[in-house]
Amino acid sequence: MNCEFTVDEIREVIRAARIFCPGFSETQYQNLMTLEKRLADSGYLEAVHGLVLLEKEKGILCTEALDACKQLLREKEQLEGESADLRQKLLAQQNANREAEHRFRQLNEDIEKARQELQAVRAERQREEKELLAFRKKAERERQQIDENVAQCREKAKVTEEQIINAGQLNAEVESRGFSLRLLLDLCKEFAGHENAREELSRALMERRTISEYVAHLREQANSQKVDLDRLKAERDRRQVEINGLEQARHQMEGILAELQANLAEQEELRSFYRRYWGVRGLMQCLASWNQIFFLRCNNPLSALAGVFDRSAAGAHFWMDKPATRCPHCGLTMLIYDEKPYQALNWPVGDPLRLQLGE
Amino acid sequence: MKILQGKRAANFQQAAALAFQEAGVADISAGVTDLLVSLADATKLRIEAEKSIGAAIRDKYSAKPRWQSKWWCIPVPILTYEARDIPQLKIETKTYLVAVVDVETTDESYSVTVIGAMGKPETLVIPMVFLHAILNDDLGRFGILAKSGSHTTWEVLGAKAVQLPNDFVNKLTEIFKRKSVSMWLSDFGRQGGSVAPLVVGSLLGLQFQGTAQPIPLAQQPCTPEKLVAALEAMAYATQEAWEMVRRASPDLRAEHTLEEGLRMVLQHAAKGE
Repeated sequence: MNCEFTVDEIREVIRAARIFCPGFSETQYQNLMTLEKRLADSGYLEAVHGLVLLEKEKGILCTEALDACKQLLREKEQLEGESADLRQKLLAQQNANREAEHRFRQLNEDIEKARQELQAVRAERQREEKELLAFRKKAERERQQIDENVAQCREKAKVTEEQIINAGQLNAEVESRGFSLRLLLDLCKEFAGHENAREELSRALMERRTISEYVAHLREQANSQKVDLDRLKAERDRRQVEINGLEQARHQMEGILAELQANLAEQEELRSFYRRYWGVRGLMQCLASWNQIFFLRCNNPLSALAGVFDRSAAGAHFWMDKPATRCPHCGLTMLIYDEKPYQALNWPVGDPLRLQLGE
Repeated sequence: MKILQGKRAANFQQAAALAFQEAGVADISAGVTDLLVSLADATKLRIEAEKSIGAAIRDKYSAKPRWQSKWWCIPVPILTYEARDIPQLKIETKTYLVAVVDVETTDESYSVTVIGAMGKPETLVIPMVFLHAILNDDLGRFGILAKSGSHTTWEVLGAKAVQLPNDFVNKLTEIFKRKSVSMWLSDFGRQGGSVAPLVVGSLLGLQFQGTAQPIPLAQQPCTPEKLVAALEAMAYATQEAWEMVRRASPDLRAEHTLEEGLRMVLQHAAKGE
């Protein structure tokens, strides 16, 4: 409610209130205003709330509140003293708890760390065991493969183990005399192509006295054969160049011959055309002088039927320079365009044709 | 519609201040309009506003005017307290149009402000018992006679059925959670202040109706009806009783008790004889 009503307004308020509540008095209104002011003060509400709580919780009436308050204050002091001791104990206990919790956490962390390390070591060991197993298997496979390869090689070389042992002994023997097996093999290869190497060697020594001279003689022969070979190669190249030139000339001559043959055929064709059509040139010039030409034929069915048996009795064919209406032979109007001349001239059937002669 | 030169309003606050000034209630708080805005139909308002602006502009500028406008409809309330049958608060609301208009004629261009009341006023009648129920958030004690999306009609004993917009009731309920009734009425300016004691008194009466000590009839406030009833009980005819009360009325005061008033009426009757 607004507490700033004037005196007159307050009277109005009370009068209006009495319409619904005839017993409403000014005292009630003032009480309300006072209550409003007090409600605005939070301390008042707290005090009233405290008294209500005191009565509700302790059963102490409002009139005994002061004595009770003193007693409660004394109890409060005593309790505060006890509370301080308890608080110190609580603090000490809390510190001890914190320390224990810290140790416990540290221990847990160490255990966790050790567990993780153990797991890592186990995993490492398992991995290495697997690798070792795989390595063993692989080594076993390779050993078997090597044995198989050795067996195959022996089989392929057709040697036995005894022969290999003998070869080893032979090698040792050769090396003990200052030679090697490779040198011996080369010497063998040197004399292999000669069926009678010993005799050939003795004859050569007899002819040339020394091996060096014999070798020089062989080199000289080889050189003279090489010179002859080079000369023959040069001769062969020169001949090849001449053959290429002749081949080209032949191609040119063949081209000229083909052209001449074509000209001859064309001239022959022209001669034939001339002989065949020279006689009708007047007719052609006459037709070319027409403005238009229509090729027509009579389609009289009787003539068509007769034409089957006698070609001269077939329907008449005729050329006109104007569109015709009647057959000049039978006088009937059954005319159609003659397709053959149009097809021969490659001209649309029925279109008027203007004959154009060349120069 | 009145046409003022220049643009006098740029926002709703300024438009509301202009409308209140035009209506002669310049001390009303603009926030009051929020409560009353739901009274009118928005579509109807828009059509009417555009029509009014067009009519005013065409009336003022004859040279083929073309215009663009921005407008606001401001509800302006008039408060009345009545205690004839049952104490009640009446809120009569007129809608004022405030429009800032840019006009272009064939020769010139103008900026003007169109202002004026439009449409019929709307009246809300709120019996005090109803207001008390809103204050206590206890509308459930009234029976609902009719309800629509926008309005509800309640049955109030001893008064006509109360029809109010739902939006208005909801907003008023919210306002009373934050403000006292006298604070709310102070938003209506001087007119709110003048009816505040009566409204607050009525509400106090209703609040203490069941708790205050009953007072004897003789000590109850004096009203003409009670005086006539008392005289009738004293074997005066009704017409005669009303005549006696009328004669004594110059000396009767509203604060008189029934006993005092009766004594005064009888004294006047004795003098008259």
